[in-house]
Amino acid sequence: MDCTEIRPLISYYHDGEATPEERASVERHLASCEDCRRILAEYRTISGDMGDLAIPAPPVGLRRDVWRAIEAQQAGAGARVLPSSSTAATRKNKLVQFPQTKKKPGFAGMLTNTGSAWGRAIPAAMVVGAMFIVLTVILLMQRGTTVAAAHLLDKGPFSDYTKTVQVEFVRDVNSLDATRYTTVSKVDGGSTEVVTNVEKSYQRKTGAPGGVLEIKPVGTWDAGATYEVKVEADKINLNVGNDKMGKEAITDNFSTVAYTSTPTGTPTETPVQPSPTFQPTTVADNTAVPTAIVPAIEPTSTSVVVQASATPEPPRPTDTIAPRPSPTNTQTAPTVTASLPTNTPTSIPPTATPEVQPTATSAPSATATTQPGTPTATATSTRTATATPQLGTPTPRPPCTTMPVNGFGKIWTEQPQVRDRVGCPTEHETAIQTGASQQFVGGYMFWRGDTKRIYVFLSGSPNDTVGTWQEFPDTWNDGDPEPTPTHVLPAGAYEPVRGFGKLYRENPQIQQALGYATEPEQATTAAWQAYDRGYALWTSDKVIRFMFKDSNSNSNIWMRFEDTYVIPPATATPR
Amino acid sequence: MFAVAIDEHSWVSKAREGDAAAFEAIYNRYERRIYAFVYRLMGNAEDAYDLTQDTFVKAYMALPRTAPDLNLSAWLHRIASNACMDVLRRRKLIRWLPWETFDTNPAMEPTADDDPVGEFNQSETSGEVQTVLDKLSAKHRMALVLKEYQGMSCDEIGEVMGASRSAVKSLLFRAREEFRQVYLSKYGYAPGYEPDRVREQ
Repeated sequence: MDCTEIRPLISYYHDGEATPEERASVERHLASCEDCRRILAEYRTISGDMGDLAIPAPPVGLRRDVWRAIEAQQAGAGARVLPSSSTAATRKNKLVQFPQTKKKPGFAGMLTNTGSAWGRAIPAAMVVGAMFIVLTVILLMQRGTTVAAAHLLDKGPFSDYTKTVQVEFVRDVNSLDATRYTTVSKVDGGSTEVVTNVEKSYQRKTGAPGGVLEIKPVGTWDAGATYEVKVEADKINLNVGNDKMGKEAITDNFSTVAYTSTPTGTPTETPVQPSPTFQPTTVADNTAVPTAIVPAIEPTSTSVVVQASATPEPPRPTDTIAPRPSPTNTQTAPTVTASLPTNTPTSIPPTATPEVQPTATSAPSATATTQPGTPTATATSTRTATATPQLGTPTPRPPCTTMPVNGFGKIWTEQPQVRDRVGCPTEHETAIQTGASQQFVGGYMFWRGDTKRIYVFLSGSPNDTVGTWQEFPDTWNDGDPEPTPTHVLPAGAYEPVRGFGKLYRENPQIQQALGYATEPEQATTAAWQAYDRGYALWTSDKVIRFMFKDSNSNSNIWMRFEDTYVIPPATATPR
Repeated sequence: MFAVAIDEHSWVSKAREGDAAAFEAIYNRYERRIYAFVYRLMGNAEDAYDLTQDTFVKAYMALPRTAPDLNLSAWLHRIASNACMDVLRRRKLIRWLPWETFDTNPAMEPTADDDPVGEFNQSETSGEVQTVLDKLSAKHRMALVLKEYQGMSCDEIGEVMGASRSAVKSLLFRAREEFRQVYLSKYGYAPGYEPDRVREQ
């Protein structure tokens, strides 16, 4: 066999894909051919160099944009496309392109399909023409309107009192300055009061100048309030050069809808059901599903702004928005009593209209100091009429006789996918004084001492926030002999003992899925709450797991969250 | 790993029924892998961002129509590679300057912006490899990236690219040959035979 014939076989040989005969031929040939040995060495170098290529980390906003695009897809094909200077919205415009173009080609599409040179040339000319027109329009718009160097992407009025407000910066600014010199004040009559209880985070845009400062309330925005966002442009440095962002401060306002509850005994009044997942005032914009992609030009400062984030948030279990009931928010929202697992939480719903929850964000344990309804006719009608779909089958917040409180309540309130999936609590929180837990390579085990049950949480890696869980009885009794460990484990690895160990040894599948333990068994206190379709588990490492029960499967899903709930100082009691 | 198989199977069947949490689990597992794959195919972070997004959106919408024995990894890679091919094809149509005019394509070079946390440092060799990859035919590039970067077997690559195992073997051979030729013409020496490296050897 000469070199030309043997070359492909060298490639197969390198891949381990050569047959035994081919392998023998290659090895015979290589023994006598310097050139082909060199070729094999080059193949190996190529493999090695390619295998050494770095693995780039996906940008932070990718996950968010994926969910937004999915949601836009689900929102339907009839929505309109709006130009936007928001990065997320722009990306959505660029990417969500596949539905209708193939099914119903327009004029240009029909031409493209002719397959002739003209068929390609004409649409190409049209595209160039369209690009020219778009650019011209953008230039004219920029000339004709003053685009604020910073502005709110959505001004409300928001019915979601935990809404993260976004301030778009059109130029590249120092992120620390932007964070420091952007403040929110509540406008009360003629006076303003700075709101300090907010969290701010600035994110640069990818692929375009500027960025977005997200401001979220640590508690909630007051209902029916107007807030002024002030950007002190004269103090904010640009990233390039020595200039400031502007000569004077820029202000922009947003507002929240007034809170309305149904007073007991007035059943004729139409109740309002604020829900954090529905953003009525921006529905038209939110549902925009771009169907065509115009050139990959991102207008960086057009005067039309679409509020990308006003789209109802799709499930993003790793994101925490961090709203919680504000104890100072007694003006319109119910007062909050932080109740603990051992306390008796109070349920809110007025008995006369059990289908209505007084508020989206006032938590759950709120004692019902509801006020007579403040009329908010506009918000009410819009909200009910235009509820935007979310992932899966959206269900309205269920009317719960018992509402979840504390950390459970916070997540339940903030995370529609948890709420819709798990349903209402069927009991109050229970404090578990005797619990144990252990972390494994492929999951986590939790022992509930009061019921002698073991819960196994499987995951692909320790950092996964979603996985499957299973429940087992704990059949180990104190005094049972521990078997001699059979495995020689690497340093830092542990074999589970006692109840965990027994379950582990008796279930090879669980054993294989969990791998070895990465820590010894830990004692933990815990809180537990049963729901219509699952459980919530809080452990003293400040982690909350929602465990969803699926009647059709033995393998149910869990989702893990950090417990970011902070007990309001006035009523704080250690959990 | 066994745990992976159990979870994936469960997640796929749940996601197929519209379970967002299960899809989130799938996303968590494959985000980085798909992003890296697309990055290497397209050669820049902007495209990688857009096309990874595109891939997962398409996957979410198409999952309900998939077969029960879905090979999730191959399927996601296939969606991603189709998305990349579409874009590359479109760009080829409107490219009116010959490729050789550009010695280096600035859009293809990773920038500091691509790597805000500094995790991704492109070494000199990596830069050379990516430069050569960018000049290969799209199919050759794809086969090499799937094999050498994603570590897939010929069977898996066949599943991604819709080709038989023997076709993949031949494709890999031709891809390597093209890589060698491009490398040689670009740098003046064969892969692994740069003067410094040879001297060290």
